[in-house]
Amino acid sequence: MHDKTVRRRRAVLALLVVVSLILISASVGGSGGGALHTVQSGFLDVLSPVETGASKALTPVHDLFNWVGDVFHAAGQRDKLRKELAAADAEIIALQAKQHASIEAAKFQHMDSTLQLSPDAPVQASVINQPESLWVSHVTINAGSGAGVSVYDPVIDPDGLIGTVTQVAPDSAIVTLINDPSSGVTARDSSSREIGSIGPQPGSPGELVMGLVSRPSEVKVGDLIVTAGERATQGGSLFPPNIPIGQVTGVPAAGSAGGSILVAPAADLTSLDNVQVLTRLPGA
Amino acid sequence: MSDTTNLTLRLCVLAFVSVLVQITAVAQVRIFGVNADLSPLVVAAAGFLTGALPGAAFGFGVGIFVDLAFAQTLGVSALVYVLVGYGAGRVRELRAPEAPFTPLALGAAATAVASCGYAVLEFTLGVTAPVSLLLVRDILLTIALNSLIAVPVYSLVRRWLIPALPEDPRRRRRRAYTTGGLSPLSRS
Repeated sequence: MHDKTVRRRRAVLALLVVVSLILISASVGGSGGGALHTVQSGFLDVLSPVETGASKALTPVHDLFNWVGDVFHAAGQRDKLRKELAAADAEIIALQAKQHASIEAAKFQHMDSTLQLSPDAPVQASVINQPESLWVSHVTINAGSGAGVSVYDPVIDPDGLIGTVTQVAPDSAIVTLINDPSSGVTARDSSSREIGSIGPQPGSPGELVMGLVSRPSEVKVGDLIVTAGERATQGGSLFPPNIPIGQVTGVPAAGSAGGSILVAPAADLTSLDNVQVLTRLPGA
Repeated sequence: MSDTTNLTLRLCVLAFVSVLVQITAVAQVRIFGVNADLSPLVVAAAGFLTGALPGAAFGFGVGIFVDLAFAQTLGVSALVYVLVGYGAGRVRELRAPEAPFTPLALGAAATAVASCGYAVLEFTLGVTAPVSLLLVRDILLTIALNSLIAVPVYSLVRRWLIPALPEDPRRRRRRAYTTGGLSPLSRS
């Protein structure tokens, strides 16, 4: 009985496989292919209306699935677009940095040619550390004694004077800014030619004070303050003349004995990037 | 109506409905870039529940129906599904697995056999498609997707076929143990 069942099962399996193979041969080969294709197209004719009806009935179902698929697809697209946006942002940042660098280079070139700083062997450098603190008025630059930088060398940025080198390492240097309490720069009012000394305004790191002016009444708001080209202190830095320091923003009231001449720095001392160190000053 | 006639009718309805649902709904929904394929799941479930011989016959019928409906080379799906139905039936007859994940494993294996078998046959028949990583990826994704729906499909097929199936001796034994050998209805 068992053997009979097994034989029957195997026979049916073999029969089905053989029928399938015959159908494949007939469908692929020439003989009978036409008849089978006729059957197939007839079947499709019969099935089409049923298929159309079922398709309409099941539209909400596959709409739901498609909606789910669309959500996943949209999530994938969102991630892809985010990556593209990040890449575009990085490209924009790089381009803006290049643009900024070229603008600053042009400004440096203009300043160097106007003030004839080329004999002073300006050394290009970048600020690599600028502490964010009210109490710190110095920055670190990436040029040191290896590049010819030495203590007391003046440092400028494209807008004007920013400070003096106070410490030097082989590959870096510390620049003390002109708003540091230890700083003193001999300056001149470019309009009245009055000479004074520029120092920090206590409690206001964004402002400078011009002191030791013999005739303060000659100085007017809006006057440009530039380096005088003289030593401020014995053994101190010798600044080339006419480097912009800032602009007068306040003067003492007429007739008052006290009061200070306030100067807004030409350079933004809180956001320094590319600078030049004037390394070879005559008479320094 | 005899059990055999009832089972045959139910298998015919199952084949028609499953292929129709496949054509009208499932084939139009792409998830992760692939379609689920109900046919191997239904054939394997039917073969597993009814046995090797009915499974092979059911697979042949579903395959012919699929080939006709999708205007494919006639006999290719039939041959593949004959093997799937027969294999699923033989698994039941030889091993009788009862683990909860059996439908899932059965669905994954049936889909793998069907996908690979179909690809091999089509290549043998001279389809000029490259064996690319894309094809492998599609097959793997279809297997994964089918595994996810294998359990509910198996449950539906089982629910549809069980009234026409001869009573499982193990089920009969369990009922006899819990009811003292009598149906709750006959006791009352």
